[in-house]
Amino acid sequence: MLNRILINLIIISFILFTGCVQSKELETLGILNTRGVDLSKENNGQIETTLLIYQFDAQNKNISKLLSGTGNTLKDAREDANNKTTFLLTPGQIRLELYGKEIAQKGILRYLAALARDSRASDTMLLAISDTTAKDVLMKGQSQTEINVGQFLHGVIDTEYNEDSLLRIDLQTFSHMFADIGHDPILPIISLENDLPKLSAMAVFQDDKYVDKISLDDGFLLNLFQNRVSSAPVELTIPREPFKKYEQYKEISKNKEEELHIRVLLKGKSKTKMTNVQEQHFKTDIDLDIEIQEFSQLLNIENGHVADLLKKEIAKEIEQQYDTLLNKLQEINADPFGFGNIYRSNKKDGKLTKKEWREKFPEIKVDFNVKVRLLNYGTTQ
Amino acid sequence: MRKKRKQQLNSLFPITVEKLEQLMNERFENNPDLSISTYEHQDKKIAVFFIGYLIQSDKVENFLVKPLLESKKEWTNNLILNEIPIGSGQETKLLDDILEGLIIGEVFVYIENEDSAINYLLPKKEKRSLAKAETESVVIGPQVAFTESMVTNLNLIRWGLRSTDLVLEKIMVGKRTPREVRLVYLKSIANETDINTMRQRLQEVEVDAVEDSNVLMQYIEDSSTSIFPQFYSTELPDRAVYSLTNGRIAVLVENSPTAIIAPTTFFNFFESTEDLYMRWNAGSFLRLLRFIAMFISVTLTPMYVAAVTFHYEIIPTQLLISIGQSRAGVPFPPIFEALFLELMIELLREAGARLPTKVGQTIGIVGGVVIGTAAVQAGITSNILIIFITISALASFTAPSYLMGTSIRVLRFPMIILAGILGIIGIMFGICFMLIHLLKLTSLGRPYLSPIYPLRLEDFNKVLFRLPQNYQWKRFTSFRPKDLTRFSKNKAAEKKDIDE
Repeated sequence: MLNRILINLIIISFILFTGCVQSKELETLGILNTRGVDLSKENNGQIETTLLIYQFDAQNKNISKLLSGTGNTLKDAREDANNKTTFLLTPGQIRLELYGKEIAQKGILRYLAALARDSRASDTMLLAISDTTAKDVLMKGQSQTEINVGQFLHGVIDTEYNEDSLLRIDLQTFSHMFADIGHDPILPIISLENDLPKLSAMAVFQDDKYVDKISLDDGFLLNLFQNRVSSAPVELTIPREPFKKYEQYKEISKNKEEELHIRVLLKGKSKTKMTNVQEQHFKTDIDLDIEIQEFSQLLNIENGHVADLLKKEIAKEIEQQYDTLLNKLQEINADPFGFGNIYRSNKKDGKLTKKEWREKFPEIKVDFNVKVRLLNYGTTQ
Repeated sequence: MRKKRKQQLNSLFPITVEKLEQLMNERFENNPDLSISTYEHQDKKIAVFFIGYLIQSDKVENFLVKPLLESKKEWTNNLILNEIPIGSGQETKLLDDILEGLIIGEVFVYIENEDSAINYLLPKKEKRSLAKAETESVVIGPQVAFTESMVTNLNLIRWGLRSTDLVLEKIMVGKRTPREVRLVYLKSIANETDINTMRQRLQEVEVDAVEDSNVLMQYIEDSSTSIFPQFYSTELPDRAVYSLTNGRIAVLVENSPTAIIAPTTFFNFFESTEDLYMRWNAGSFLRLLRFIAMFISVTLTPMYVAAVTFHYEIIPTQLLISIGQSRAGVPFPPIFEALFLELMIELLREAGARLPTKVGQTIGIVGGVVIGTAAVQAGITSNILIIFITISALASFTAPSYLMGTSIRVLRFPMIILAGILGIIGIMFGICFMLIHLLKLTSLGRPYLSPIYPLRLEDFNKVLFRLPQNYQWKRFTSFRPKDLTRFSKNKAAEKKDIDE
């Protein structure tokens, strides 16, 4: 008897449960793949979203579609766009969120917070900034590239991340960096070159506001500073003068350049310590293993002197690059290195406010110390 | 039963041969097969009666009737018992005993005016010859399978286990048509409690007839309502022998080509004797593969249904596109699509099993290819789902035990329905429900999920994977065999090359 009641209860609860979950069958959905967010030109204060969606229609072979909608919030704008399609737009598969330059300068926190709180939205979605407006990049890109431009852009950025060339920043890490005191986020910038979207620079943020951009090479330096880099392709430029006497085939060379370009595969890690907490002196040790792939001028590298000289010059070059980058960032007063974070953890009371660090950051001194080891310079892999 | 009647009834004999013949015909009303031949020898009437097709008639002819008639002696019962060269002669006095004897293949000789008849057991049993195993076919190792003949099966086991330890207890099961059942175990290894439990269960079965060992199994199982079989039913003598040497019990049933092995854990159903014959690493791999296959078989289609119905977020973008495109024209919700295809696979399997082998194969191929392709072309199903369904069907056939494979296939249907109603939560409900059930199950009183629950790490190397033979010096301890070790531990560590 008791069993029968139990079974009935189970059956009834199953039937009632069906009310809880709303079924979303794949073919009825317009699945957002990429979203561009801009400030609306017509209505002040509103945002305009450009949505790149997948829709599965038996009668239409083309599954990518571009829609746009305006509204006060992201969801409002999505509903506006939904009026233009029969498919229900859902954000569960957004892989890339692109922000226009203007909106990024005003701050993107509120949009990110909305994404982070949506359990359907992926935490690992990539974020990027458009050089002009997001709409421009997506519209023109879609008409230029053969494939879905969202997928294309995601691929472009993701390849760089996988190569360790740039610091990987997805929604989760961006939110984390923002929440950290004394650590400013960076994001890749997409610009249009002959109407073709291209990864061109890195955007530096002050909190959630886009302030200035740095080059992709600087982006790599930031990555090397924060992560262990396993094999990043890098091009270095060092003065040619010290190597003149070791050059091979000097007689036939017509190269008149004053600089030597070296293409290397770089592997390394860094460690930062505070040497003086009161005056904010830092010391960063960077260990690099370098595999040389290509020279602009052939060198007699078997000679031990050349190897030593190369190590010295490369180290000098990288140290100099770091110094320049730090100076620039101090001018902008944004700290994507995260020195503030290190300072806070070394400070006695462990307390630091964002404002306090903005005042102190331009004054800090960092001693970059690069150690280079040359790995094989024979056959390249 | 026989003894009781003996006390109640008086002897039938002496009686005249005519009277006996009349009496027999009366009692055997509807039996045209009873043959009674009367001979006259030295002025004495001798009656020989039997059922023709149950006995070895050439033996009766050559060793019984011929000597009786050709000899010049004056036959008496004692003389017959001494002179006739058939070993099994006995004296019978009661009519009921005669009737029962006739049915099991006895031949009766009655000399007029003697006070008992003599019976010889000369049964003829029709049986097929030994053949390869069909449902549990193996690639390497012994191929021979049990047959329907108890004598043959006992012979196979005896030759596999030439040990005086081997016990073959005889128990009769069934009220109306009693059938011989043998309880087989190794006395020095098998657990005493297990033997007693099994013996008691067999003795307590009260049924009309036991059709087959698989039927008997259902009578003596711990939980008869469960979807999972709790005893292994095998047709391989070497598997039975291997189980016996590990301290388990086998039950043979007359006229059944499968032996029941008990106790059994859930994991035993995914072991094949082949795992032992292969190198240990290949054997381990195959065993792991079967576990993965089982999991895939139960969850793959439900996962598809859940993901496509509720959780499109979890599908990688590239896969999402191909699934989306193939789903685009399908008019049914995923749950019906999946149920429809699963049913179709089951139809093909069932039809293939019923039809003769040659036709069955053709139907399988034609049905699979034609229906599969046509269904996709017609837009009734998506081709991705066809792939999933086929994989899970294939996976379910990897279980060496056909009974377990069938259970798994049946389990898929409630899982698909749960997934279609509740999504991944539903699948989790289903898996939890199944797990709780498995935890509660026992086989001959031993936990079904051991050695995982209760946890016995030392048994893992016999269940989830297999160590090299040299390292398996312990028996499966979860079954508590009397003798725990197969050989001494030091023997395993010993180096084989002594010289050098």
